[in-house]
Amino acid sequence: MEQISPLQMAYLLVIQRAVIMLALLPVVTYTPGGRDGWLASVLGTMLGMIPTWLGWKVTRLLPGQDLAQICEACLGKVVGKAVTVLYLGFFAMNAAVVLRQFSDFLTTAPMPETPTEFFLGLAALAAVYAIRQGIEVTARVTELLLPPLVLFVLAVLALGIKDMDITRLKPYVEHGWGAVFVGAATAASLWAESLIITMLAPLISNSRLMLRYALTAVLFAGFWLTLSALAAITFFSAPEAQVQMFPLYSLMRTVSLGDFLERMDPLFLGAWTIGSFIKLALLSYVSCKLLARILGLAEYRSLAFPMAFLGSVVALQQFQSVVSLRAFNDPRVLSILLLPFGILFPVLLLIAGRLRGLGGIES
Amino acid sequence: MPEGSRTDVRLRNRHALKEHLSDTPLNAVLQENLQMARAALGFADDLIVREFRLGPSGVVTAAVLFINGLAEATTVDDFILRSLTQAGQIPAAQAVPEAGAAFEYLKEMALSVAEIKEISTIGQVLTGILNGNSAVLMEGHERALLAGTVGWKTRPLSESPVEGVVRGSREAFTEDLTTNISAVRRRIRHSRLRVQKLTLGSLSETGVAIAYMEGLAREEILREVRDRLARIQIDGILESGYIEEFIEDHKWSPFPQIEHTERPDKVAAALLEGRVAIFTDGTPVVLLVPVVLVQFLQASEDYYERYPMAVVLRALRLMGVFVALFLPSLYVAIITYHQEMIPLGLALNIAGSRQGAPWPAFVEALIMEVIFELLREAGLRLPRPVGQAVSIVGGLVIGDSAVRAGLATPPMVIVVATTGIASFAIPAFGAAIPLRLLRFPIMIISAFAGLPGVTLAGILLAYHLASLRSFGVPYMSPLAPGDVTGWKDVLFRAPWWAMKQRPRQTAADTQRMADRVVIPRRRGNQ
Repeated sequence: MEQISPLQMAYLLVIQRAVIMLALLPVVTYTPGGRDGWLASVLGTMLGMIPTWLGWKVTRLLPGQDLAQICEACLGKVVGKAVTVLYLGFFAMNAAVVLRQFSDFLTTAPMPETPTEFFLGLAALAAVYAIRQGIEVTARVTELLLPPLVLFVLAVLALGIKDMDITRLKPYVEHGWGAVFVGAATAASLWAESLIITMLAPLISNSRLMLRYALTAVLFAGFWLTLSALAAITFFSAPEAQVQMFPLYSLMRTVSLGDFLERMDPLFLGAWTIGSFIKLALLSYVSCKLLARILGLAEYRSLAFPMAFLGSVVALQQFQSVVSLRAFNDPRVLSILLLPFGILFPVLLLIAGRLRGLGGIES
Repeated sequence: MPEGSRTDVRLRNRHALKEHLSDTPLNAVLQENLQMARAALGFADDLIVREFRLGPSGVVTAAVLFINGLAEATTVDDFILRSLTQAGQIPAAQAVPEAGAAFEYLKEMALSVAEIKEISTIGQVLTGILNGNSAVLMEGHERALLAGTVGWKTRPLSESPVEGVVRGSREAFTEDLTTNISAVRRRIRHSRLRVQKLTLGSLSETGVAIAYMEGLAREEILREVRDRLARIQIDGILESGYIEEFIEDHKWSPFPQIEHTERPDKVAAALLEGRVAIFTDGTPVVLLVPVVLVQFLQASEDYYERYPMAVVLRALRLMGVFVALFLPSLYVAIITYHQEMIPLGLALNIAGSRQGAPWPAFVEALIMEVIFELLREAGLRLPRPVGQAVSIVGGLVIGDSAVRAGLATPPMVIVVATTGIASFAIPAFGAAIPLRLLRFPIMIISAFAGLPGVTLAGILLAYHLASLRSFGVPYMSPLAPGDVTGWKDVLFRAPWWAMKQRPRQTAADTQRMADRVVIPRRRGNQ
């Protein structure tokens, strides 16, 4: 039986949420005006705790069971399966998006002449290996790679300090609090993905600490994100930061220390690859696990290859280019799409569970 | 006759012989026993059978059997033959030798050898003498005595050429099992040091010993070691490597999951951490289980020199690992795909030297790395005086002329040489082998997929390492899964007085010293 520690779960949550958001900085891009992106990030982190907390509540309904089993126990066989299938679609689609983002970034920035399909296939094959190794190994790899990654990003941000101008943050709340909330909702809705904890819960060695670690992970990722948003805005000024495809990537290209430390973008490339890949592995693992539950299979490992293959096809066919991917990721659309998964379904499950008298006993 | 059935017959014969040897009881007639022993050994010329008569009147016929060279002739002379053939020795034998009387006298009074064992089958006689003992057989007795006369020639304890240190013990193991165990016992003089012997290899009958500290070694690890050793079925074990391949967890991984050493102090240190040592007769290499990856980056000197040095050295070694693994691939990737990442001055320099390069960076790197491995292999195999010549001809002459002829570029020579040196910085020779091997696939990936490919390869490597276990202990612990108390001895080494805990993943009892140790502090000058 696989087992992960609460700390490893927190690491997984951080890397799964933070790295992509760091690269794209949606809080800056999608907050009208962009200047209050950091404020939106702070608020969004607070709001982001809601789906995380709901996810934890759902796991308490039936301790030791995962999302698919809880759905079935609460909503009955048919409706429960239907909701599980929807969640499978949610996680699998997410995995496909990550796969596409990953390969698109690599073929836009460092290797423009390589076709997207090449990296897509390479990452998908590598993901098959990762899924088959199990979540325990993914958790260990995260534990190994996340701390240096965090340190590196923070160190590079620190190097940029001399070019940052704090006055670029002014005026605060230029477009009104409504605009800030739009950005915050964007950031918060992306946290719907923290529902993966409902799949990890049965594996966690000390489930009593789960909520504390999950919320700490959200806070930490939010802190990290806010710092990065602040750095991007003060470094580039809001209008410029908003049009950048990968604001932090550009920042790292420009940053230098004396004459000997410059061009730190390869390191960003490494951070991006690590973060995306682990997120891909995590989401694919969750998808395989859910599919195995839906099909009533005891083993999820045999699903790794077909799942990765389907995921690659979706990733290639669904989006014509980086632009359509960006359009899909537009949180004004996405947040409405994510709302049911982050809020609606968990609440539904909680109500149904209560009606059936589940979750009364704390283990 | 078809081939299959002939093999069957031969197998059956061999089997029958084995059965026959181990179970046939000794005969009361001396000559028949001697005949059986001679026949079983195929009338070997190095089997010495010395027949003699006991007692003043010589009524009892007896014989000593031993193998020339395995048993020490002087011991046999002084302590067996002389004490038995002295006149007037056996009072009971003056009468008709009653069953047992003469025998007991011999066993308890006459034989002045420390190690005596009573045996009753011809198989035991053979096993005994093949292990260097002498067998004493007597007319009219269905039992025999085995006297410990082991005296083959062994190499003395000498300095290890592979694991040298500046500070610390110079002693290294030899090929003799007993000597090796005693070397460890001399370092740990506690009754809790347990040694258990077993015999492996159906034909070589090699002695193998498991050593551990009672109460420190974890019970489940010990059980696993015993189980896995017991499952080994092979005809001969000539080196501990045979055992290693049988008992390791992941047979297909390039990474070693068992540590080997020639140093008694290293074995003692491992035992004190609750690990288990496996000694093999005939080789100075002792296996230590379980092992985690970071232990391959630790040298015994880290623990003998004061701790600040160990901190720096370990950082260096870690760097060495990365360089040995990734430097050629990074160079190839950057030269091929990401030229813009090189600072301008350096880029111009490299571009200048690559001006007339006849092949792409990847091909050049591949050729150079292969030649380097070739040189290393040749240097290892050749007799020492010639090895010097190879390094001069290979390294200096070929390297220099290759650059002059424009076949190789100077930056590539630097990269390859650095990689080679870096791989030597890893204290455990065996642990550097997978790095040397994995360099090539990563180079190929870098040629196709640039830096992202190298990163992806790195992640997959991390996945592989994180999935390994050595006797149930995760290979990347205490880094992942993380265990903060274990970090005191990973990337740096804490001072000895601060390492109050033994590694939790191996030791059953983790308290190394009392939690509050009084550290002598310097008082102010008074």
